[in-house]
Amino acid sequence: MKKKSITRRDFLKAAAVAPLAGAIVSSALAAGSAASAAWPAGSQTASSVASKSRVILIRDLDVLGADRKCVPSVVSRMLDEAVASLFGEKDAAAAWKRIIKPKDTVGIKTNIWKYLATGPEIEQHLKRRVLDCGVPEDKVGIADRGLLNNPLFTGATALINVRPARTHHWAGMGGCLKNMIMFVPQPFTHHGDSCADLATIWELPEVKGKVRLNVLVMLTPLFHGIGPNHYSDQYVWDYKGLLLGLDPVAVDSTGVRILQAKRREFFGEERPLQPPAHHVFYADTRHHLGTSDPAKIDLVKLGWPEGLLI
Amino acid sequence: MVDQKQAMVSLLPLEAGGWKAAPAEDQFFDPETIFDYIDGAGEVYRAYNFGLLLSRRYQREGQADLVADLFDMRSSLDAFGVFTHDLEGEEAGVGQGSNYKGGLLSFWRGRYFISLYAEKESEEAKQALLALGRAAALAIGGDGERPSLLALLPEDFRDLKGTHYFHTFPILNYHFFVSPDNILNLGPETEAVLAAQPGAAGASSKERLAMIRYPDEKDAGMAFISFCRASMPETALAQDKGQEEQLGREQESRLFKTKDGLWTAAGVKRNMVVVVFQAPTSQEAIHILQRAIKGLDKP
Repeated sequence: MKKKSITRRDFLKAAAVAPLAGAIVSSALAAGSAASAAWPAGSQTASSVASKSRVILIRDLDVLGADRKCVPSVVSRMLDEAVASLFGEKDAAAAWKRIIKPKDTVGIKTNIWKYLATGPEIEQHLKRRVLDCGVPEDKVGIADRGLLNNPLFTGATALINVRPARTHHWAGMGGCLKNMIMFVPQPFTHHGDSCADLATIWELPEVKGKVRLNVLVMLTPLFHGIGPNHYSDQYVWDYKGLLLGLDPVAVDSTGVRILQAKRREFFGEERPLQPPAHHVFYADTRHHLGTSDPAKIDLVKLGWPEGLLI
Repeated sequence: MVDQKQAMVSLLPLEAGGWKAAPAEDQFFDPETIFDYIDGAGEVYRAYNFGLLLSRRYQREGQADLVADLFDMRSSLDAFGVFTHDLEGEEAGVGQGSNYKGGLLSFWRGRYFISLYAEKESEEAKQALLALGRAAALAIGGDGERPSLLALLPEDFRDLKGTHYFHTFPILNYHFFVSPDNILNLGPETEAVLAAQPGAAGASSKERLAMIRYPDEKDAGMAFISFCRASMPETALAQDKGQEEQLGREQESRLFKTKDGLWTAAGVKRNMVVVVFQAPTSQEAIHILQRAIKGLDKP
């Protein structure tokens, strides 16, 4: 066969202008702030706020004590204020009664990853508030693993979803959406395309329609991972915040923005999450579970403003 | 399997820098159980055909633990490949290639990839990790071969700090997202390298060069068509019939502009597909592609 070298004419004949569709979507997400910038900032009128997903970001300078230990009284106050604000109530008790009823069986789905666990201070506060709603103690459980063998969780009528935010080696970010993966018998079956379709877990009968509150703990988020264990103290910082919302996509989307902003600040250049947390984006655009678009999120910022990043 | 476990146990020392191992607590994980240990990160090692993982903790009073993870990757090519998955850090002079950063020392030698991690970084812990690493590298013994694909990269793309070797599209997407679908038909039987060249606009927009070797010319041709079809549906569809008739043709190439204003050039020659991503101009894309394809003729 005659050898043919590439000529410029070959290229001009074949040149076309066409997008790499997947790359465009994901390059927008992977571009970090570019993704945020790509969405219109928009102006927030009263009517536009009403149609948005509300997310509360609360921070407190005093929430961490020595050795980054969570101060129970401070985090309790933060959670109460955030929940009250989320529901527009004067106090947390009234707010909680809007989502938990005495006849509920409540599973508090936490996260016990050894390097960055939710922690008993937050877990116990959430449990107290559930009990305050009149739920009997034997109808409230706190767990991360073994959920499918736990009758309280398989039979729960309400779930409280709580976990720390961190980068994740395969999903880009571990957040509220991913926290429900323990309702799947074999979690690795959702690893395809960097966990793109984690939102499908929220269609499972054990989960669907039951999550009453999402809490993404941003006290000491992990913003970069190294090695198989994906953890280093070097990449954790004292953000001292909590994100709360009814829309897990909106909560996670806000968490992604904070992590990406921190990475930009720390590395001194744009360093998108690797891999990109596109499951958050697809939870919106592909699965319609909630909104990932900052322009459609009513983000209420409370408390300590320094180092907010977004 | 028992023999391999014993062989791996013998590769890790029992003590380093005052930290001592508790071998009775050694844990082994295989491709099915690795998720119990490191969750989603297990997919990385599975993508490189890993066979067995030995995890050992080292303890020292008053200090945080050291964790040694010894991966039997079954071949030096895959040990090298998984090493290139995370190239952050400074060369530490251990094994055939190593990195140290943030309390993590990783290196490869022969068919093994080793990750040594200090749960709390300190100078003492770092020195212990280095001692552990050197001892393990010595125990492993002989060096293994690197992928021959590396030699096909153009000179200016041969920065090992920015070059990844892999087989599957999730790993490609991890380093440079191309598509949620496997449009390049990557799989266990393919070998690929992705190399970067710093671009004028800075590290975040540098050109990428992917060179992929398929089992045969037909596989390469089909992959090239698949990539073009996904990238340029209008022109690729019209050309499908002609292209399929021309499978086996020595060389074919395409150029297109992506929505972000950068250029992609793709070519196929024999059993190789070459793709240039993110070139700032069409001329640059053509130039890189030409050089890469010309290099395939080298003996």
